[in-house]
Amino acid sequence: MKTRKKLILALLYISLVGVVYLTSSTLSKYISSSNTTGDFTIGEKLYFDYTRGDLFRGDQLIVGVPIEENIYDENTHELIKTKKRIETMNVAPGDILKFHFYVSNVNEELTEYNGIEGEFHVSASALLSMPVNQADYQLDCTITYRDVTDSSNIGAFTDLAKDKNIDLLKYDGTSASVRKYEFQVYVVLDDQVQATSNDDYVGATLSIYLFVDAANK
Amino acid sequence: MSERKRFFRLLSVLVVLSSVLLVMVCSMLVTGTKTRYIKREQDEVRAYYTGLYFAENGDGSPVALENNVGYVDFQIMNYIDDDVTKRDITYDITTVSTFYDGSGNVIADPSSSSVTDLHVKDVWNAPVKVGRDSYKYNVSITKNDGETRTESVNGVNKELYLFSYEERDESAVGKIHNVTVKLERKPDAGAMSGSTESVSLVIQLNKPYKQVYIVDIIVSNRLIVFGSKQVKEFDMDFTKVNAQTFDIFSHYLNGTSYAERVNAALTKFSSRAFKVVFEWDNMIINENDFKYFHNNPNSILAGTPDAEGLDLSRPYLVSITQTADSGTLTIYVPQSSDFEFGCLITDTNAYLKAMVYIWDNATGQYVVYDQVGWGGYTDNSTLGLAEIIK
Repeated sequence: MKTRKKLILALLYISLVGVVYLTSSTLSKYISSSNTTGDFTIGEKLYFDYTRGDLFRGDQLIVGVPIEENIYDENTHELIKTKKRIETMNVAPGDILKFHFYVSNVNEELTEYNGIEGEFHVSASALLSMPVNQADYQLDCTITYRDVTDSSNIGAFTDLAKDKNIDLLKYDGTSASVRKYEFQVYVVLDDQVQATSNDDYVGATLSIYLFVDAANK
Repeated sequence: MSERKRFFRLLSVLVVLSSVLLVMVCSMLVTGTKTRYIKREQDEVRAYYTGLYFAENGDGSPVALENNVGYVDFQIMNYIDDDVTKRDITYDITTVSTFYDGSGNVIADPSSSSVTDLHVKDVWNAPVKVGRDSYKYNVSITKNDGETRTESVNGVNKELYLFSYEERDESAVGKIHNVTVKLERKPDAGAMSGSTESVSLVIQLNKPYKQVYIVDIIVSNRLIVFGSKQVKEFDMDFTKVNAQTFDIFSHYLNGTSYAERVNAALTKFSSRAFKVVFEWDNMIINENDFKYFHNNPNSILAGTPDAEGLDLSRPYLVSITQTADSGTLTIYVPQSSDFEFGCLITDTNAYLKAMVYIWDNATGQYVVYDQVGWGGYTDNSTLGLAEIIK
């Protein structure tokens, strides 16, 4: 009898541990989703500075109009978020738009800086909308980058691999801990879009969506 | 409850709690989970495509090929109606070196009788049909009042004609280039098999992107050549009738000197003007276009409008009678003429034909300018008849 009780207790214990393990494993996945607010009020914070650069059409510098579009709640009419973009007109088939931007671990005025060792990832996607053909094309973008920390020694652009993370150094107040990178993103339509004539581009728009994500190490 | 039982019960609770803690720590270590602080920046570049509005009015122009050389005048525009191209356009018109078949394959020998059609390729690699005799001609621009700019074309710097994009207030400025293109028959092209050949000029755009525009023209070795083309004015479709004559009716360049032109019957040609009688139906001729012609030639030329020594700068209007949508027009056309007049077609059954008369030196009178006797027109089996619109 005593042996049976012990066996029941042992099974009960194993079952309990199993349930706890499964619950913990499940919960741990949610824990790994992290805090996306970017606020880190205790101690130092993760920070990078994103700055827009020039917009080129081929080799020609063109004017991009900065737009800020406020998105409001339909019911409460409260501002939900502000979408920002750069718009340019008069693009023609065959044009390659190149957008330059910068990412650094301190801002220009040194009033904000990165206080945590981290890394960041740059990604982009593009959407070509051709209303005449009633077609939308998801396009791959090409991103190249270079280190421009030392303005007297700027190298050539190199391709940025899709899975490449770049170190986001902790700024310790010294110039040696400052890092600044220049990126250019562009999309080549050849082999990605099946256009057959000039008319296909009537009313067409090309949107390049750009993301810079950083996380602590 | 005995002390021992209580102890084991507490021990069990302790073991369970320890296990929970241990499992959570292990789980986090295995999955590598840790709290990460994330920051994201998002941006967008949105580009709006613009239209390429490019037009020419050279289609259907006639070219009188004299001594293997002919010229055609037309206009090129960077706008269509109210739409102006909001980009710089650069272009050139040169001899096409490579022709393709309808499937986009290179034609090695365009002169081969097995070749039915010639094509050039546009930027989308789609074959665009051109005149069958285009390969026989060298083409170059001899006059163009447009701007120019040097650009790289296939790696070679070249001077191209330019429509620079200009804004006025909030509108773009449309521009016109007046162009004269020279067509020179290649030495190895042989003699013309008939009286006319179908030739296309290829306007090759370099900017804003590589594209081709085709101008179909009619090249003829007749002394007087007619053509017609569709134009749009004030949002209405008009037809322009063009006529061009040889510089010299009576002589041709034979090597380095001029020789007298004779027909098969060894009749010498004269320098007198051609007499042309147009007749039309279901269309209205724009009589304003004849205002710059010499009017009342009988008075000007003392009753002999067919006399030699006419003013070559303008044709001579003898008479025009027009009812609602039909009529006749008689003119004298001197050598070295190049003129046009507008028509408004009112019905699909419209026609415009011309009886063409040439001065016969042998008989001292005007005779029909027919195909066999004079190398002229015998359309619809009627001697001297040129069907321009049918």
